[in-house]
Amino acid sequence: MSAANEVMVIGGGVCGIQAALDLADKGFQVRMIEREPTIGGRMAILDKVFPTNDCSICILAPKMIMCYNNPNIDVVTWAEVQKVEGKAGDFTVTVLKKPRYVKEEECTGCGDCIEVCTLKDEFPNKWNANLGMRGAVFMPFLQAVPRVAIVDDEKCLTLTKQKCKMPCVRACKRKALDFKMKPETVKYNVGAVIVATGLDDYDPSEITEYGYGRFTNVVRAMEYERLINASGPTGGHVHRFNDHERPKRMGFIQCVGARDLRVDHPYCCSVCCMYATKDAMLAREHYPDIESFIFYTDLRAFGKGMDEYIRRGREEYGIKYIRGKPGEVTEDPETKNLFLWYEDATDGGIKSLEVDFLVLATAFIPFEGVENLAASLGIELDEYKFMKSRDPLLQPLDSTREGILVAGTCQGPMDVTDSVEQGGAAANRAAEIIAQACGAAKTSKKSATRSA
Amino acid sequence: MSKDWEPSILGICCNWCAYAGADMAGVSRMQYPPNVEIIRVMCSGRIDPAFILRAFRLGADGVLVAGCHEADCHYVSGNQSARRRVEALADVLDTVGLGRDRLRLRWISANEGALFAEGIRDFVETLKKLGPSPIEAPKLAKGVTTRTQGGDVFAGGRSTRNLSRGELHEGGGSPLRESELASESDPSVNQVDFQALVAETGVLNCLECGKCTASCPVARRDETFSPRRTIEKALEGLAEDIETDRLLWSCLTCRTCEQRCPSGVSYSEFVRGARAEAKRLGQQGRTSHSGANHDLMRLQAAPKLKPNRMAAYEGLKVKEKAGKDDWLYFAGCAPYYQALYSELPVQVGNIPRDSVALLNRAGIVPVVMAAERCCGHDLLWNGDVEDFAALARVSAEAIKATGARKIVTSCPECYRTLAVDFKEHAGLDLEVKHISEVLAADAGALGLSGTGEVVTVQDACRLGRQMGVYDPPRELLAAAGAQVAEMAHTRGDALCCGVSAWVSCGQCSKSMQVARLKEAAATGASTLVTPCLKCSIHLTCASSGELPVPRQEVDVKIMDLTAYLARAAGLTVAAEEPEPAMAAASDKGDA
Repeated sequence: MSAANEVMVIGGGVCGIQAALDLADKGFQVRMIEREPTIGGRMAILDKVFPTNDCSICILAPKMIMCYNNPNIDVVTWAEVQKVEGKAGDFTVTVLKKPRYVKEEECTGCGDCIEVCTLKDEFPNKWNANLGMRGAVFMPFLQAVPRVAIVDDEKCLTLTKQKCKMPCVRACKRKALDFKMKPETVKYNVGAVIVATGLDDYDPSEITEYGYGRFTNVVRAMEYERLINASGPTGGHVHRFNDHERPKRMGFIQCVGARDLRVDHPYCCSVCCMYATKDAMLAREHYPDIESFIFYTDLRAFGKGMDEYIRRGREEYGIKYIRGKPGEVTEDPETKNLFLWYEDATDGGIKSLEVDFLVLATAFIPFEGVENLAASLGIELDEYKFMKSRDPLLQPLDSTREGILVAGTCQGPMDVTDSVEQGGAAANRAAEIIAQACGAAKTSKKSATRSA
Repeated sequence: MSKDWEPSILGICCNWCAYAGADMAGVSRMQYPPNVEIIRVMCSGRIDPAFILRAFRLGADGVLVAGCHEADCHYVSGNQSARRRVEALADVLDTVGLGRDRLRLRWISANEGALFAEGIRDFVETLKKLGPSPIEAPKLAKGVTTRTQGGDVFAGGRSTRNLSRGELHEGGGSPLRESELASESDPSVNQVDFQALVAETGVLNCLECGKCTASCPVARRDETFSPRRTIEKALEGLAEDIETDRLLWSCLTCRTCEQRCPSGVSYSEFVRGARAEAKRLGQQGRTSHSGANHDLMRLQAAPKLKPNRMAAYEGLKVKEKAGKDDWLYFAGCAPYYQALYSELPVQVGNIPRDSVALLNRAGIVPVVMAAERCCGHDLLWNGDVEDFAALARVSAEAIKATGARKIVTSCPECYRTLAVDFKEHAGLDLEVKHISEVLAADAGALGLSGTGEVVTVQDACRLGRQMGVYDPPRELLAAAGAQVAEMAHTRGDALCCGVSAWVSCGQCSKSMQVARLKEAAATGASTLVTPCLKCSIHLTCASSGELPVPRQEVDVKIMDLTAYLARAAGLTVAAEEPEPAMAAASDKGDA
C-alpha cells in the first residue's frame, strides 16, 4: 500500500476515533496507534457527558466498535510511536508494539483468566481512578476494545519471578496466553499523522489547603466520575470512605490547580464549570435529597446550551453556586466531615460550610512523557507542554512539523464536542495534506521528465 | 568632644516621691546642674523600656529613672517593676554599646531634695567622663525651635515636653527627621508610586475569588480585616483609603494568603510598600511594646556605636576575619529580647551560643562580628524604609569588612532580610543560609544522641513561606532521634505565631497563639520546637499568661531549635534549663 493512501492516528480517544472513522469513510487506510490496551480514552471512563447528560460509554462504545471493526482501520493497541522520519506525504513511523502476553486473535474476552489470577484484585485499576482493583491479568473496563485481556508484566508473578502456577493458562480454553511474547518494532509508511493523544488530570496533593490525600472524604472529579458510574467500583453508589454512608451535603471546589499561577497552570481547564454542574445533577438524580454547593471563581458556560445547563442546575436540581474560592478545608477528626472556609461575597464575612463529601475539580494537564512523544514526532510543545499549533487562529490543527496534525485535548483542555469536531477537521486536513503532497510529487515528476 | 559640651539627661520621675523630691530641691533652692529635663509619670512602674530607648535614640546622654523607695510605692509594687525593667535594660545597653552607666535608677522620696540634687550632680559628672552618646540626635528640621544649651535636653532637638506628650506615647517612626518633616508639609498620596506598587505586587492579577481573606488568620478573627477588600480598593486606586487605614497594620505579612493565592498577588509585599507610603504620609502606624524594639533598632544605625556581642561566644571557636570559605554567623537580636522579655519564661538568650557551639561541632569555625547590629527586618516591615536602609548600610559595611562571602543565620528574619532586602537596600549580595540548612547538610557530624521524644515543629513564616525552608529543621530533629508529629496546619499552611515585626499585638494575636498551642498539644508532642525566636517569644507569652482554655489543652514546652539540638548534642548543661516548680522541688540536688 502506498503512503499516499495511508494516515496514522496516534491516540484512540473520541477525537482519534472520529478522525479515523472520517478518514476511513473517505477511503483512506488508517493505522490507529493506542498506547493503552484499549481505545476509548478519557470519555470511556466518564459517567455522563454535558450538556445532554448522555451516558458517555453508551454513545462512545458503538464508535469504538465501529472503529475497531472498520476494514479500513487497523487498530494497534498497547503500542507506542518511537520515531517519525520522512516528510509530509511520505512518513516512516517506527512503532513499538508492547507484548500483551495474550493473543489478540485468540482471546474472546471471556474473563476466565482474570477470575483465577493468583493476584486477583491486588492492584488499583487506573481506569477506575485507582478506586477499584484488578489482578495481574485484567481487562481495563467492561467495554474495552479490543475485548482482550492483558498481563501486567511489572506485577505478574510468572513474568517477574517465574513463581506462579499459572492458573490463567489452565483456565483459558483458547490457549490465548503466551508468556513468550516479545516486544516488536514495526515500521509504517504513511502520508500524514494525526496526533490525538489527549491529556491527564492533575493530582491536587500539592494544593495542600484542600487536603486531597490527607482528608478521607476529599476526591478529585475523575474519581467521583467513577464512583457515580454504574460500572464503577461502587456500582454507582457514591459513599464516604470512612463510614460507607452516602453523602448528604456535597461540596465542589472549582479551578483546583487551574487558573493557578502557583503550579504554572494559568489556563482555564474549560470544562470544570460544566462537569461540576453535571456531577451535582447526577448526585441529585441518584439521591433526591442531596444538597450540592459549587464554589466557583467565574462560571464559564460559554458553549451552546451551556448557560441553560447551569440554569437548570440551579433551578431544577437545586444546586447552590457560591462565588469564591475557599481558603482552606479542615476536617472534623471524628465525623470526617469537612469544613470549607470561604469569604461570603454577599457580606464579606468568613463562613465555614460543613459538607460530608468534597469533590475537587482539578485542572487538566499534558500527560506524563509528552516531551518524549513530541521529540519522537519532531514537533514542538507550547509553554505548558500541550502540543503547539503552527497558528492558533488559522491553522489550529497543524503542528510545527509539516504533515503532522494535532487534534483534541493534546492541544489543551476542551470538551467532548470540541474534541469530536477537531477529530473530524483533522481528518479533512490530513486528506488535504496527502492530496497536496501527491500533487506535488506528480508535478515534480513531470518537471523531472521535462528536464531530462 | 567640644569643650562646651554638656550632657543631656532625661529624668523620668514618679509623681508621688521622686518628682516631689525634685520639687523639694527646687523650692529649697538647692543648686544642681541644669542638664536634666524631667518627665513626670504617675508611677515608676509606668516607665516603659520604650521611653528610655526612645530617649537614647533621640540623642540623650543619660536617662535617670526615679521612684519611691522600695516598700514605699503608692501602687504597692510599681517600683519593683521599674527595677526589673531597668536592670534588664542595663544589660541591653551594655550589649548594644551604650553602656549601663548611662542609665540610672534612684529611689528618692518626697523630702529628699538633697538626694535628688546630689544624684544629678553625680550623674552629670559620670556622663562627662563617659563623653557624649555615640548616638547623634537626629538633624533638626527647619522651623523647630531650639533652646539654649543646658536647658535643652537633646542637643538641638525638640523639647522633652513635646516628646512626653506626643512621641513617647506613640509607637511611630522617626518624627524628627528632616525629610519626613518636609514630607509632612506635602501629605498627599503619591499616585504614581502607588500604581507602581500595584503593578509590582501582582495586584492587577486579582480575580477577587476571596481565597486570601478566607485563608487569613486575622480576617477569621477580625471581620473588619479583609485582604481581598484591600486589593479591591487598590484596584480602584483608593490609595489614601488604604494608607490611612489602621487595618493596614493588622496584616501579619505571614503570607498564608499569598501561599494560597492562585493569581500570584504578593499581598505581603503590597502591605510593606503601602506601609512605607503611609509612613511617608505621616501616619504613625502601630507597634507593639510601645515601639521599644524598633527604637532599639533605629539607634543601632549610629555609626559610632560599638555593640559588644562577644560575651555569647566565650570558650567557643570563632574568628574575626574570614578566609575564602568561611561562614559569617549572624546572631540577631536574641540577647536583647532575652533581656527585654525576661519577665516571661522566654528561652532565647542562648541561641547565639548554641548556634556557634553546633557550628563548631559541625567543624565550622564561624566569623562573628563583635559589633553586630540588628538586621532591621522589623523596621522594613513596619514601613520605616529610611531607618532600615540607614541601618542596613552600616551593617553591610561591617559584613563586607569581615571578608566573608557567605552568611549563616539562626534567625529566619535575619535570613530573609540579609538574603533579599540587603541586596536591594545595601548592595550586599552574598550567599545566605539558615543554620538548619547548614547543619542538616551533615547532621551526622553533630553527634546528636537520641532524645526519643515526640516533638512538633513551628514553621516560621520567614523561614517557610518566605524562604521555602521546611525540611532541614525536621531532618535535624529526626537525626536527634525525635519523632516529629505534624500539627493540623503545617509547612506552607502553618499558623503564624500571631505577631510579626512587632507591629501589632492584641486579641487576635492571642487567639492565634492559643490556637497554635492547641494544635501543638493535640499532636501529643512534649515539645514545640521553633526555628524562630519570635515564634518562641510570642507563643511563650501566650502560654504563660491567662488562658481562655484549660491549661492541659495547650500544655507543650516551647524550645528553640538550636537549644534542642545543642542539648541533644550534649553541648548544654541540663541546669541551664529551668524546670517547672514541681520538678525543681523534687530535684535530687545534683544541679
